[in-house]
Amino acid sequence: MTRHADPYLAGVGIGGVLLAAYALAGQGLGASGAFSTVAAALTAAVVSPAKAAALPALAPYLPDGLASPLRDWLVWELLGVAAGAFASAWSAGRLAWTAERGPRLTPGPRLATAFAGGVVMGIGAKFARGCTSGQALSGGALLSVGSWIFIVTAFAAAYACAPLARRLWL
Amino acid sequence: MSVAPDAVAATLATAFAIGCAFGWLLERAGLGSARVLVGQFYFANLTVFKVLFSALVTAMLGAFWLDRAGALDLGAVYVPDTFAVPQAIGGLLFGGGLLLAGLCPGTSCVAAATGRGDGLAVMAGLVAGVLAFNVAFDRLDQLYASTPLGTFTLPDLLHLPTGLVVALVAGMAVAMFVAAEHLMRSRQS
Amino acid sequence: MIGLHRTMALVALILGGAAAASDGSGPAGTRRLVADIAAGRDWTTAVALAERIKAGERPSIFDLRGQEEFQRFHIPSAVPATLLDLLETRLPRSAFIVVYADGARAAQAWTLLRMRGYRDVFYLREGLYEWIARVHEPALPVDATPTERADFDRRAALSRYFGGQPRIDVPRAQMPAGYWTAGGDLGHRPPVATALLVAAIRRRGC
Repeated sequence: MTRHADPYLAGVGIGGVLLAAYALAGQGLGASGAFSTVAAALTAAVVSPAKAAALPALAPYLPDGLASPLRDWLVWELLGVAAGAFASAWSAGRLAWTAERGPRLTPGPRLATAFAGGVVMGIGAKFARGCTSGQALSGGALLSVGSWIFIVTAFAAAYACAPLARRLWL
Repeated sequence: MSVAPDAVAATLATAFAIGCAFGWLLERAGLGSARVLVGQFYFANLTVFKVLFSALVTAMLGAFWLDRAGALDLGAVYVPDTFAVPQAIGGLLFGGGLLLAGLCPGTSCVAAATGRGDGLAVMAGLVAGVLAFNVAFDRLDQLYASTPLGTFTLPDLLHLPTGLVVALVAGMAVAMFVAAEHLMRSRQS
Repeated sequence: MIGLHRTMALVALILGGAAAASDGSGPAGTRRLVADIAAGRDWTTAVALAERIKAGERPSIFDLRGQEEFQRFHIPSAVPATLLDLLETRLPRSAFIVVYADGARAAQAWTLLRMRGYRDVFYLREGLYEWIARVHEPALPVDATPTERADFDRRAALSRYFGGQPRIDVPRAQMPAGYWTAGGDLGHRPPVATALLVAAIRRRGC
């Protein structure tokens, strides 16, 4: 199993990828937006495209009444993330069917907390108009004040919650 | 506005390629592992901080200088709007959720792609969270849309020239990296 | 690895320091400003503006003359503004912006907006006078050449689009002059000339 790469070098590489996104796509990287698109598509499939498009929360994601995640930039970006991650892990011998968890957790509770954490992050990312990729990284590099507010509050909240969650991780 | 199918395909292929590079580098850095990621907040490692801020500084300096050189039109790059209060609230929620989940939206895809079940669970939770937000939108939308400040950058806020802000951010990041290395060395001894 | 990290940190500090020492970000760089002024990239013609609007673009047009004059007549879709308003406006960085005024104020506004980082900014060299003379009320001289007639036809179509009134059979001596005049009249129209034109329009109704 290969060692992980130096974080600074990986960071510079990611910075370069972000620049490529600015230059080629006129926008930065992102992630949470793709989940919004998928959620909108699911909603449209369950109720009806017309009803879904009429909902104020979903209108931006259903421009022609039809959400096609397969026409969304961020969805394809995340598919690429998955492909690139798979290739890297495979070449480094790091592929493994497992649920990563702290030493005191069994898989079941771990999956439950992962899901719960995802729910909270999903709501937070909606309010913040993005996540670590879209706001902290991409917006932060463009010096947007809202992105920097996000960086500070997200790190602060994570550090504040850490002592409360020792059982999960330590 | 209808776009030629070739143009759409090319745009999406670019997205995929960019994503591949992003995913590869995240996995290389170890951020596809919840334990590595969370380690940041227990001072076991500072990988999240190092990766995020070196990427941020690289892109910030690169964007500034490529724009100066005329190789990049920064005016054509989308700068996210600022909504002060909702983004602060969103950040607080996101940070708490991150600690619970151990992965963020992007790294959850990295984890899932490498076989981590917790990555899939986080992704499912994200969709559920978005759906919950949508369902409650009627009650949330006033808060969601509050304090809109439009395109608002640090140079605007601080009334400083952009070049100076770039220098300050780069200097602050380097200082924090130095402090981080000292911190990790002193914890090991 | 430490050596590499130190080099990276040094590069970051050098690039940052150089950024601070430079004239500020790209479009606000004073060298680029001066170059754009010298190359005539700071102004646009009223006709070009009219054509872009007719083609579907939605510029943000700012009228810097004052509320009263604005009420009397203004370019369609313009909004009144002061320099202070422009200092604080939060349009998207890529917005297409046009400013006009009587005299130097428009050029001052242009400089201010460019220093704030907006790039697609232009002013009208002869302000509202140019809009009226070239778009709202294009004039065809009595002895027009075929070229002048073709140019007039083009601008007459624009005029009708904006609800203006093309004029034909205008004696040469009364053709509105400006920097666009074949001989290159480079004077700036004093506010009086604009006011007279506006008064004439209002008498006719529009």
